[in-house]
Amino acid sequence: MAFLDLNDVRKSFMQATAVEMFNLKVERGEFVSFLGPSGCGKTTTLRMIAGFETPTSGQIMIDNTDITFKPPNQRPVGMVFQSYALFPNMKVADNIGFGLKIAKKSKDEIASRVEEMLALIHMREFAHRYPYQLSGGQQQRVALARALAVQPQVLLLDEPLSALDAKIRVQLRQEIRAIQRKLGITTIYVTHDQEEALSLSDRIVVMSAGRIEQIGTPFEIYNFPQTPFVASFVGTLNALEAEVRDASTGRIAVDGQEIMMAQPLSGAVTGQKITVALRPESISLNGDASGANHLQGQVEAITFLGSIVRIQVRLERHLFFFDSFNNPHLSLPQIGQMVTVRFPHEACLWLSAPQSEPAGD
Amino acid sequence: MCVVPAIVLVFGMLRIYSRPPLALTESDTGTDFLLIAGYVTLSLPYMYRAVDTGLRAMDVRTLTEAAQSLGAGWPTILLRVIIPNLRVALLSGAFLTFTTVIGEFTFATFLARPAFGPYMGLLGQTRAYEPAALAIISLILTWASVGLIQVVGRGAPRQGQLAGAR
Amino acid sequence: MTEANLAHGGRTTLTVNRGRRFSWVWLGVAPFFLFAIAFLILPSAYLVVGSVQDADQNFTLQNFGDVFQPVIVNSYWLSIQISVVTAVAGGVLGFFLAYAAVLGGLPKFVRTGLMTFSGVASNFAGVPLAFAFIATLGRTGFVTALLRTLFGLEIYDAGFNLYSFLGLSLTYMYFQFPLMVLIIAPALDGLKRDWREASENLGATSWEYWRYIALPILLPSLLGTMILLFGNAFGAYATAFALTGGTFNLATILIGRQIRGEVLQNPGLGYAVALGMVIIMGLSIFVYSWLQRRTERWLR
Repeated sequence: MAFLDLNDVRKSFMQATAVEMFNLKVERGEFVSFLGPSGCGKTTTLRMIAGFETPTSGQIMIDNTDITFKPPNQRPVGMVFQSYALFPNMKVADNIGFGLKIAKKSKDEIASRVEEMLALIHMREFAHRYPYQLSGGQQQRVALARALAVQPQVLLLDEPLSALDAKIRVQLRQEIRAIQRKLGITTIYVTHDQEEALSLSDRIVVMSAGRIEQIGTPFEIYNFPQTPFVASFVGTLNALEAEVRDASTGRIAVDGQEIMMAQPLSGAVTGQKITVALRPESISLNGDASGANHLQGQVEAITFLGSIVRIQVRLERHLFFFDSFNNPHLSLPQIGQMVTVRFPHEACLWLSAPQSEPAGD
Repeated sequence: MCVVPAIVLVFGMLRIYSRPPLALTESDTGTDFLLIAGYVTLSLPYMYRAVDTGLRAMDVRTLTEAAQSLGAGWPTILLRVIIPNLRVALLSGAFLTFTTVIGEFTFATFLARPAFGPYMGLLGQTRAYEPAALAIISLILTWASVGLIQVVGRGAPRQGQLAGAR
Repeated sequence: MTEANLAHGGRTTLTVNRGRRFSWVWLGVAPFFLFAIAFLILPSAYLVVGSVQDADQNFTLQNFGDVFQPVIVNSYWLSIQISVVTAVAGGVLGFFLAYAAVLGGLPKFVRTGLMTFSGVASNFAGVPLAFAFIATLGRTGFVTALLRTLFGLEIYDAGFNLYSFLGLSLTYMYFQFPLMVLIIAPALDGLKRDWREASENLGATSWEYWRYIALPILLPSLLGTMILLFGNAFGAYATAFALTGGTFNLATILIGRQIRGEVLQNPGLGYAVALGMVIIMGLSIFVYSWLQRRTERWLR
């Protein structure tokens, strides 16, 4: 039995359904991210675990205890909010010790635990500051310490970094992961930032329009997206529409130009329209492998992105892009020039038949 | 709310402006002027608050710079950029002032002007039923003003509706 | 008034930075300063000067000693009592009304209605308010008569009197509690939902949330607004005059009689009484802005 278990959880507000048939089993100590655009139901799911929303149907269990209908103040979960939600009238130490004070712990116990938490977030010298005297990153670290001070069984983080500057964001997310590993606490992390989800998580739950699109490790999600939505939301894949020419050999055509997939397209029939993903980092201008795929198109734009250069190529109808590593000797094509790009068979992924329209935002 | 209550302000004004060299209370016109000056003083705090709220709600510096870069001189900027954006604030303040001043009693009675306030006061001492009718008229005027503040202020930042005690 | 001056103070620095020559910026604010000097500073200064002069215009501090005679002390004491009572009662009532409308989960129109009513009621003061109360709760008032016919209840026999301390307090309440509603509703809006949820998440009950978080956050606003209500009642003249015909010995009524030359017989003493009012008003506005700043600092 899993440590945190969400069983057929549904939530609807009035007529609108926010979360549809959510099933997830999280192991003890695991770090799981809910990834998706805003309005996909990831925060609603998190709030159901915290008890701020009640599921319309389904069951939520923590360590074999049904908590579906428990009030939020009786659940063994700690929550970190996007807005930090520090109590403005209390100093840092009082904020961290609040949960312990409510739990009627002794003064000494609170003091030593607060001290321990301050050390954990490297903010010992800030114990007697008020929240308004701290930067956003410091406030969020205090909020993390406050949530952890009561030793919850599950830690919930609701887009904890989205209000922070880019640099602090990267630094703090490493710190969060380090603390999580050190304490071995089961963690659910909600984010709309795919880089955050990929770099932090043991497993990622990609959500769209209230549904789970795919559950998997960062490696699986990034390399083997199962739906067009996952392909377009995670990473930067080219999604191209293609026509099946020969399912048994994996021969397809994009805008009339034939390419081969690595495997046969089992279940597809000739003439069927399918969506394939093309990984930008596996495409090159001067392809090597013989027998590899090639496509001809016209260069439409060249974007300099620092360590890489992104080149957009137009086929008859489709537009796709690929990345070249930047180096001083790189020779770039001219805009408007016809080029031939090459890529191995494996760079081309068949995205399973679309189940739902990808969410717009 | 003003640090100096109306009764104290009119006290000081009467003492200064009722004797030479500034004997404003000698003539009706002079007293009317004094009355207006007193009401303007009373309205300053909440007029200021209304305009302040309005100015905070817009970025005056950026608006001014944008207008300047488009070739506008300061009269144009003031009349066609800043003031139109303050319309709600100015109107709210004006309606609030109107509400306060229309039935004002303290200033008008001590400056001995036959305004609506002293008239109500006089009637209250001599008649039995008319005062109630005047109270209703006054209430309707207040409702109308507050209603107008809300109508002009729709969609704009909340305007203060506080004048002060009388 | 202080706020206006501060705003212009800010502009002064700008002028200085541009150079030490005459700046046209001053010309723009000159009318305001002239007006303020003529109709606010001069009259107030006259009171200050007058309060330290005797009948022959010699310097004296005697007037401040004379302030402690019973008629003056009693009038101040009555003013303070009625201001404190109506500020506290109006404050508490206004707070609970605003709480119900903002956080009570009532439909939106209740809130809009209450705010509109408060906007009207807080501005409906002075003579018409007194008349309205006479017409409803006076000896022959509508409500008095209604209670008599419907319930056989004779409120004036039961000890109620509109022209007493209780009656005047009730009348003041009509503009006091709406003022509280208007000022405290935005403060209640400022309580973030996240604070409540964070406290629940840490195991706190609703009562513990109010005890440790919401009330401490609101306390400066609550106290500050009550002090504002205090000043509001303390400076009121027209309502009390119209209701009681000038027989109720409040500090403002005393000054009114002094202007008419009915009491005290000593002009310098009259100025000292008026100055005392300004000092009390100034103190309460000072404490109010101090508390307000404290809250703003927390809630940045």
